[in-house]
Amino acid sequence: MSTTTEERRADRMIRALFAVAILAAVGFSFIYWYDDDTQLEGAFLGGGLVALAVGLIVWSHRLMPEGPFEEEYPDLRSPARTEAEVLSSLERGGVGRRKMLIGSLGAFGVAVAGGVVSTLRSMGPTPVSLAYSPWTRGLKLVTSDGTAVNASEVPVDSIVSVFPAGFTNSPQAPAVLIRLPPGLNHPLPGRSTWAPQGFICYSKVCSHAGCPVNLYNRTAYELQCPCHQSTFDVLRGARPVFGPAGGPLPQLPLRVEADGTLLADGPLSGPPGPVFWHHS
Amino acid sequence: MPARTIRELNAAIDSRVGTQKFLKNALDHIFPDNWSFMLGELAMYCFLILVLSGIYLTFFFDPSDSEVVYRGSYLPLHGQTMSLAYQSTLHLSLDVRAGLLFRQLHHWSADVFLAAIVAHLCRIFFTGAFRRPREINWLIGVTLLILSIFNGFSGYSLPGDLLSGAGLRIAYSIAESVPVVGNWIATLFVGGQFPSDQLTHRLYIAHVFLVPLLIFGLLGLHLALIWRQKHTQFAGVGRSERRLVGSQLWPTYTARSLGLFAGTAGVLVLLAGLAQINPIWLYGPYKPESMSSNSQPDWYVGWMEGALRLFPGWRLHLFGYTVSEVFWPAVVLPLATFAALYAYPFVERRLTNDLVSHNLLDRPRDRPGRTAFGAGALSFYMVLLIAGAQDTLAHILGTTQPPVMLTLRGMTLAVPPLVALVTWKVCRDLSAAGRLPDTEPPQGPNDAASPPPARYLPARARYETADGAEAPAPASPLRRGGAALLGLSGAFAAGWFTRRSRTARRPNGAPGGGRDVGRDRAASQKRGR
Ligand code: HEM
Ligand code: FES
Repeated sequence: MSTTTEERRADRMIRALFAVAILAAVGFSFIYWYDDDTQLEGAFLGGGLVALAVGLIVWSHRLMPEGPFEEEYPDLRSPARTEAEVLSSLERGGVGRRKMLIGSLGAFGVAVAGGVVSTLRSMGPTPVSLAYSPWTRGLKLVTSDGTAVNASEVPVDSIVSVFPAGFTNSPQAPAVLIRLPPGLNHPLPGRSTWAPQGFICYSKVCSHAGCPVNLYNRTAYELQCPCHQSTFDVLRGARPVFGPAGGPLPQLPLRVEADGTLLADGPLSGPPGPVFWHHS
Repeated sequence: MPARTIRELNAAIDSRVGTQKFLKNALDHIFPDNWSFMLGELAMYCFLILVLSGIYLTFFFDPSDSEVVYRGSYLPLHGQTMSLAYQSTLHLSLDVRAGLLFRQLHHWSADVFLAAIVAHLCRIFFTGAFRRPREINWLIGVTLLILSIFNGFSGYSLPGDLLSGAGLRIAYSIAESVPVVGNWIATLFVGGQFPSDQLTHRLYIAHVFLVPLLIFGLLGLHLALIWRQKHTQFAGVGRSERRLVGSQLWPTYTARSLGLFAGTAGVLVLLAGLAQINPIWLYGPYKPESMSSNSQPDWYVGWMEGALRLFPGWRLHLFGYTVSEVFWPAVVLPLATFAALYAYPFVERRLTNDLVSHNLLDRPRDRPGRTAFGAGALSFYMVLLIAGAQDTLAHILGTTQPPVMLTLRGMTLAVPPLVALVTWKVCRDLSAAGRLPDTEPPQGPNDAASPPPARYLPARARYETADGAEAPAPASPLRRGGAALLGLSGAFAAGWFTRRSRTARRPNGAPGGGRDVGRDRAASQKRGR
């Protein structure tokens, strides 16, 4: 079949490439059965496929007819006569003139579609208010495994994720408890008693898009959200100082019992998480 | 003469179905030679590999939000509460033979798929291939892009790891931010409050059935239209608005296309084996109260992520109602982006009053306005994509975040006009100079062993375009090959650099040692089976 030296050379080269591909594929099987190793499996199977690819492309360039061949682009627009015939076929039986019938078919379609689409209502319950938060006065602060947080266990400058007792699974619940060195806090008006003994607590649900505000810079007293870097000033009511969040994290008023138990002294100062249409 | 079995089979089918006319037509179908016309095919083959590797994954993945306590082979996560979905993904990655290879193959294919689609879209845009009569394919194409982004997002949200859970939480907040009906949309989509026990199940059906089916159907339509209208071509020897010049489907393009398929699959399998992607065992299971820094979504969502990071915290208070700062970058921007993409061919037609059909492509330089607009728009999304990793960027640059963010904010405003202006000027100069970058003689007819039945072109002294002006000759096969290689490696490199590059820090409180220790331990356990 091959006539010229060049073609014979190409033929030999492609055969060699295909042989490599076959060997690599067998090698892949061997590794899979003998000792499952992701790297070697990938190297053998992938390498075999690449050799196959090079072989095919060399084949197409060296041993197959390469143009230029030519062809006419089709005339997409049909002759006026054909078009007229189609139009008259469409009008058979005066279908198009029965406007009322066509209209009611359309209305039926709309009605059925509307009805079917409205059953999407079954996809979920009636939405609960996005302002919901389980924090209420008197709830103990607990960690994610439910153990109560005691003031004596929280050293100055440390940070703990806390939940209201009994609500460790509520997505609206997570909060951060920080113990500030004394005298640093600048409470907002009306919040002067909310941070006893330097304990200060904010909702952990980011006011931007709801990620957990999980990073704490203890030299600048800033909380940062890892998702889009909204940064909140812990000393000044967690107002946003950097990043895309448009509002502060709600604060939780705290009370410390004589035995060191930490309690919520009221609800959060606002709805946790991002703002929404009915947010006030 | 083909072998006897082939002849007999052909006759057997033909005598029952009557296939010869169709086959003759199909085998002789001509496709123009240009590396950039393979980008769509590259996307198509990525999709095929996604489907094949995805089917494998479905045998092991359990789309359930039910909670279990982990007792599997990966010791660092022992005793943690996680979803069945997360547990089954751990099992597939660490205990199933070749499971990790297929999981990583699937993820890599998705990233390269989207890169190929975007490269293909740019090719279509900058060469004006969307003009009449191909506007329908442009509209289908934009829809395919949207569906593919959605399918990518729903896919990496399935395993229930820390990052995918956080991504879903953000998506839920984005749905919530829609004025008036936001709460309804979010609740019905999730099936309750986030995180509901139905979410993974719903995402799963969308990811493995609904969206792929839509992509499959639209892709069929896309290809059928290309078949009917035939492919566009650049101006060149013998080529005109009426005459298409190229190579035949059989055997040349069949071999070339199969070669592209094998090459795509090969590179993707190499990546899957050698380059780790989305190591979910290092992230830990999703917990509403934890998240790690330096987390980014997959690259094709990165521009939305960047927009979320850069857009200022403007809350709008209207008659007692509130519009969230998230609404503009995460709802309005994507909607406007896709609306602009859908509308572009029709807007350009209005502006240029260009109502005729085109089979010859524009060289980008000859349409400075369009090219400048496209380059400017691309640079805008590039800046957003970079901003999607602003914390990592600040870390790499060794600075704090504020200057990085302020610079990026400024760049979203300054870079697009600048890029557009420079592009416009360069195009004008190149085009005005009328330089012919390539004056090699055209390729002579190829003397293959058995001459194919198509007509050869007469050798022409000059290169003609539709209006008879001179145009550059087609590039030599060598340069074409080089360019194709460059394009492909560019697409793969884009996928590589922008892959879900998240240096996993351990979430707060999660137990476990360094990454390699855990991985090695799991690997040695697997061997010990
Ligand atoms: C799932 C994603 C997609 C796949 C698998 C795909 C596949 C293809 C293939 C195989 C071709 C023929 C080869 C080529 O020109 O590259 C093609 C052509 C085309 N595609 Fe796509 N495509 C996709 C997305 C898009 C997008 C996002 C657009 C634009 C918005 C688009 C618009 C077009 C147009 C207008 C043509 C005709 C090109 C011409 O004749 O010059 N496609 N597509
Ligand atoms: S969710 Fe916290 S910054 Fe966006």
